[in-house]
Amino acid sequence: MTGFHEDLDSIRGMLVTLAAHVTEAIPRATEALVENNLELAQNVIAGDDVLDLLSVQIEERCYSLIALQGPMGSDMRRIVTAMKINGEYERSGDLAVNICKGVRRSYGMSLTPTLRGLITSMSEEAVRLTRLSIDAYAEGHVGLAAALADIDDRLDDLQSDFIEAIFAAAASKELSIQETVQLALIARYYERIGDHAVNIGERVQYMVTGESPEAIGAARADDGSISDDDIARLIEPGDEAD
Amino acid sequence: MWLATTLILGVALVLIVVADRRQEARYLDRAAAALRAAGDDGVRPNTLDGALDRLERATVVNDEDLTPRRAMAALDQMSTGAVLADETGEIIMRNRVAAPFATGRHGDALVEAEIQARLGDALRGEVTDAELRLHGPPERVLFIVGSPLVIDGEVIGAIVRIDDVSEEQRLDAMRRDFVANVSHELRTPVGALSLLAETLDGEEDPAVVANFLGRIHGETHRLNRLIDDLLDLSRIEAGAGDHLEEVSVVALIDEVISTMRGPAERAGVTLGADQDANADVADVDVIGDRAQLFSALSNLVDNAIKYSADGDAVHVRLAAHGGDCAIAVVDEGVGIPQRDLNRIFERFYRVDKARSSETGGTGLGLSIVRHVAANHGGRVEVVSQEGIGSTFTLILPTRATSEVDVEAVWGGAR
Repeated sequence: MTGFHEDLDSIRGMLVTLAAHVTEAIPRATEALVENNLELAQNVIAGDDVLDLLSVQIEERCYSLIALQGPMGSDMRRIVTAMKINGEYERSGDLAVNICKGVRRSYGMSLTPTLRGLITSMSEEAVRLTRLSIDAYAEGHVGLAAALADIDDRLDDLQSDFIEAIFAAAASKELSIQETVQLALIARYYERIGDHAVNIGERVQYMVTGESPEAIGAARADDGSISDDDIARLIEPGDEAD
Repeated sequence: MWLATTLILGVALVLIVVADRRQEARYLDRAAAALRAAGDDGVRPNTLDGALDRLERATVVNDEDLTPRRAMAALDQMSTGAVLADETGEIIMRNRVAAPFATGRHGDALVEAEIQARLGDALRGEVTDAELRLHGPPERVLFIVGSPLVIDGEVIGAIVRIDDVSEEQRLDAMRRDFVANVSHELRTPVGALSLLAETLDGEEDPAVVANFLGRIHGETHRLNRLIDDLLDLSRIEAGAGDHLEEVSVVALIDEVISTMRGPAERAGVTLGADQDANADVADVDVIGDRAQLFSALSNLVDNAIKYSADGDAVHVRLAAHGGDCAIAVVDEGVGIPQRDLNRIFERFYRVDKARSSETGGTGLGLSIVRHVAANHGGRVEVVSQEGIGSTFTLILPTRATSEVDVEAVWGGAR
């Protein structure tokens, strides 16, 4: 059984590397955006292939481990968690690429210091959340994993501030309609990276305790006591949890 | 006769045997000492043959155990990371610098991935290198080289070396930019002067002449200020101050604010001082050179005004805590991009090169501030966010704690 646990450790190591690629891609994308640096944007877009390859390798390792070892209980939870959070990091990497594509589309746009400052802050928060999420996973730290949702509130607030600031800039004709839309999308990408970190936190809680925070909501829906708010969320998904 | 001969021979034999025994005992003593030196337990051997066997074993064990351990200890002393693998790719050794990468997260995990890639190449017999730039934080640049270990044409393993070249690259960029920036700062006014003089030659319209003369005057003023600042900086860098005295920090702040009120009003910036309500700061004194301290603080306030917009406010705050006082200059201006924050104290460094003539500074102000702070045993810190503003804090030891530092810094200058 030692071979099995060594395999699990190696999957964990691969996930740590995957998360590190993501935490590097985010500030690079931000630098490309703030400094109108197309070459750097292109580098981040090209670099995503490495991330995708690693993600595919992790997935294959998980499949073969399940097929060959037939794990149960907490071992099974660890593999399932690895597969789930693998997908979350891969998506976060794609979001960094989306930011860079936004840089290409809005090339030449000049940002006010306020907008640059807010973008830098959003980027720092997104990096911080991603770093904390992999720390929570690698250490099996349930407390940290549960705290990620609260920490993410700051990124959500920054996003609201940013949206307000770009609308103000659009009203005073400092930004064109196209630029405003691009920037609104870019803010959304940062916010989504934070959401992925929160999802990872939930998966880590499931890995360690066997219970997912999402399960509570699912149970509520199951016994018929589902509220109007929940229904609204089902109709318009993507605001909180997915 | 026969009996006598036998007796003599017998005595001689006994004497020879006794002498031989003594000789052997001496040899065995020496063998025991040799064994101790070779790392054996040093218990005195009974026979010379046994001693030789043990000596041989001890020497072999020594060679096997200590040489690699010495090599390992030597590798641990190096500032370069080293990872050694056998021919199957299994890592057999990491030195102290390289060890944390194996289990590292974030940037370290990427360094480890690069180490593995270089090991793979090296085991195929290729020497490859890579420069890894990590955004961090902390921002790092690492140079990673993998080479095969070849004996008699056969690859028996590989070594990967990891060098942190962040500091080298930072200094290199600083040196390069310094030369470019200083020539830019000097050439701009000189170039303008030469053009203006050329145009004036033969010009007869008095209005144009007056205009150009005014501009020549302005450029000369700019050049003068640059030279003044350079001389100031070199004086301050030398550390020598002639006028050491007790300087009341509150009075210093008042003096700077009244001097800067004019420029602040012209820029539409509100300038004010507020003191930490919880601390008794009215009598905070610093021992130092009043002129230098004035120059440092007025540079900070001047910058704060320059980078503020019409309607913004600049505050100078004073707080004292545990033998230090902190003078913070807080503005609501454009702020400083994160990546420039650790470079703004370099001489002639400009965040926005296009705006350098607009703001009219010499690019030396913050260098002066930093050197003044260091001369007084203190430091200067900055916190900034673009669009929100910057806070520069000058931290100085107060009179009670500064005496020792001042002696050390000013030496015989008193």
